[in-house]
Amino acid sequence: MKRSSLQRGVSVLEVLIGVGIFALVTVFVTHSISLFLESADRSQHSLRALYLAEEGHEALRYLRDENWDTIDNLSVDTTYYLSMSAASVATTTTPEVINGYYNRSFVLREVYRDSDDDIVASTTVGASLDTGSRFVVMRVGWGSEEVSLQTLLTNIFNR
Amino acid sequence: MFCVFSTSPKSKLRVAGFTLIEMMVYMALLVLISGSAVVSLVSFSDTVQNYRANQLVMRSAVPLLERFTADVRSAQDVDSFSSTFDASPGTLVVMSGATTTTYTLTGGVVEVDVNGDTFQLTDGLVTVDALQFHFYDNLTTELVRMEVTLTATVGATTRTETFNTATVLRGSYE
Repeated sequence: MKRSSLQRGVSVLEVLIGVGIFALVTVFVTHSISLFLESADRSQHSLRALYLAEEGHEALRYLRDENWDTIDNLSVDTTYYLSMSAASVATTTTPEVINGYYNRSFVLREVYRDSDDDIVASTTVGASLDTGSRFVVMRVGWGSEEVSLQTLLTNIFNR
Repeated sequence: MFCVFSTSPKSKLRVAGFTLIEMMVYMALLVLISGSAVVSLVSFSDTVQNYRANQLVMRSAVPLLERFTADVRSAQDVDSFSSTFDASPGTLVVMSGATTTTYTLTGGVVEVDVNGDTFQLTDGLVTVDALQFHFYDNLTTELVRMEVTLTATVGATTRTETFNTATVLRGSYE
């Protein structure tokens, strides 16, 4: 047999390289698809969490409308929770777990205004504390992830 | 021509085919890769079914929650006598000017009725297992919370998700 005919066919090295390239491409493709599926799943969790955060904001607006003192009496920069039963909505210091999965909490922050009543940083010269306003940061967490939503509550009914 | 086992004493002929070792390495590789491919394909179809079920749930839940928020936010009052609160299936009747909007759960589908015209808010591909409303009134404003549980089934995958939201009736400010 001639040498040239011996070289026909596929050597193990060639098979290995071919298989390696194929495996590499397959891994990349499946990895990107599974990343896509994972992010779709995560977006659904964020969406539910955002609805829960919105629910929390609305509950605090309701409490604000009832009596500004409910908001005013809470310490700023302290984590509080909501307690919602069929009968009432209230704030509490007991952690809230919704559907056994989501943890919802909120923190109130002070609001400072300048002489034009515009909201400014507390460090601004001439800034004064507005006792009729609070920033609310509503946090909803699940697993190692969290969404937060901030709004401004003001004592619009002055009661 | 290419024989796996060459009995020829000539070394040149022995090189002509695959050796037993080469063949075993190749077959082992083939088994390994096809095996992992089958495993990943099976789990992949599960993931895809889960994804599709998720999409079905979202497709019904999002319009329902958005519509609820818009309707209740713009409403002036809740008809507590016609509504069913704190139980599933719940009914919610809100009034905004001359418009009466009713939310009901019928046969696993959430329907909204606007002055006698009924629309389906969730499609037939998902089942609404529970729909609950909670109503709060502090004599200044009114708050309505909604809790809805939807199930979608794709192949062997079933996905059940609960959504919650709440809205203060802006028209209820006195």
